[in-house]
Amino acid sequence: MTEDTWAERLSEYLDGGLDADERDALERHLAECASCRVELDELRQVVRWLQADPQDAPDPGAWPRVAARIGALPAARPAAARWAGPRRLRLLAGGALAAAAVAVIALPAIRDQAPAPSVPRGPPPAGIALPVSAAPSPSHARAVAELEAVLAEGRGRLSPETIQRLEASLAIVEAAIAQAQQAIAADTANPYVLRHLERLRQEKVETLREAAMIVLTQT
Amino acid sequence: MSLDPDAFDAGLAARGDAEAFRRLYVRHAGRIQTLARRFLGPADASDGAQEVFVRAWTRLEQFRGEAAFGTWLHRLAVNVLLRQAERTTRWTAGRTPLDPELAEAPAGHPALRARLDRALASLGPGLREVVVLHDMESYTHEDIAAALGITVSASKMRLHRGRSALRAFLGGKDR
Repeated sequence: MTEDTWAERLSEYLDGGLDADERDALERHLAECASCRVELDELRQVVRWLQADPQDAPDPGAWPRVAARIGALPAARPAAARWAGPRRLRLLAGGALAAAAVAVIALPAIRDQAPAPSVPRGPPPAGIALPVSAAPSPSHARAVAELEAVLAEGRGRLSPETIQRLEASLAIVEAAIAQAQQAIAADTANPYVLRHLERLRQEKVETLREAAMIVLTQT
Repeated sequence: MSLDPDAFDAGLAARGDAEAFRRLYVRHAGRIQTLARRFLGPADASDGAQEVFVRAWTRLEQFRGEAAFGTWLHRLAVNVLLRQAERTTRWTAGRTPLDPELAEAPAGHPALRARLDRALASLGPGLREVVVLHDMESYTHEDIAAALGITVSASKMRLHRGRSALRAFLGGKDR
């Protein structure tokens, strides 16, 4: 084997990629060849520098540019505007609770102001589907199911006080949703109640999401 | 369901939650910025990293959770940055002997890092990517072969040539 051929194998030798016979032969060559020993040392130094290259801090101005660009893609993310917004830990501040409580109080009045119902009031009979726009979307149902699974799994990490507040918030939101559904069953064309139902469902997801974040940050 | 914060936020972000995506960005931007610097050089690193995250946002539906989110993002970043690197003009600064004091500097020294950036950027086509992926991103030759569409033997050969070129650029002898 020529000296150049040996030198071509130095990187593999450094990385432990030679089999035992090749390694022994190369080491015999190194014992006799000062040039290859110098080259091996310098390659080792290069690898050491490369491997020790530190990680950079992110460019502090980069996120706004990324945010602007993904915000410029509404077709790709039609739900972004509804989901965006760091209303973190509002659950514990009682915001969702207050919003849903208002809904519970206000809905009967809204329903009573609606035109005379064409069907009896009350929940829809079993087997009769709500109008499409009044039914939760598959993505909403999936989000609720996933968030509820996170909470079920991490429930043990929440304090009793947090669990109590969470359950109280959810009970009120769900009561408001049930009332809205009854109102829609009585007056399927009432756009205000439909919009209100959508907002309430969003409140429920936000409440679950914030609670799930508390679970995750306590992991 | 996993309680992995990345998987959780990726699920939310895939449904359009920009705040969840921002949390993913905060957790991974440093690594992606570093990868972009290694592939593109410091001047283009921020733009490269930005492109990676914009691309990730549009492809989040493809993240199935089989691998960790960081692994998925890193693979995506390599693909995006490889294409950008092909369009990036290589620095052509002549090689100058490495300052003896710098040669003794601890790894990560800012001046040494700047010199390393220039050395990486001087590498020929196909060499820089292999050196970065193998010696800085801990890819195996099999991973590199798959990512670049080359053979394992070619990956090994390019690694040695890349290291040798760096050695020459940084002041060692050229064979």
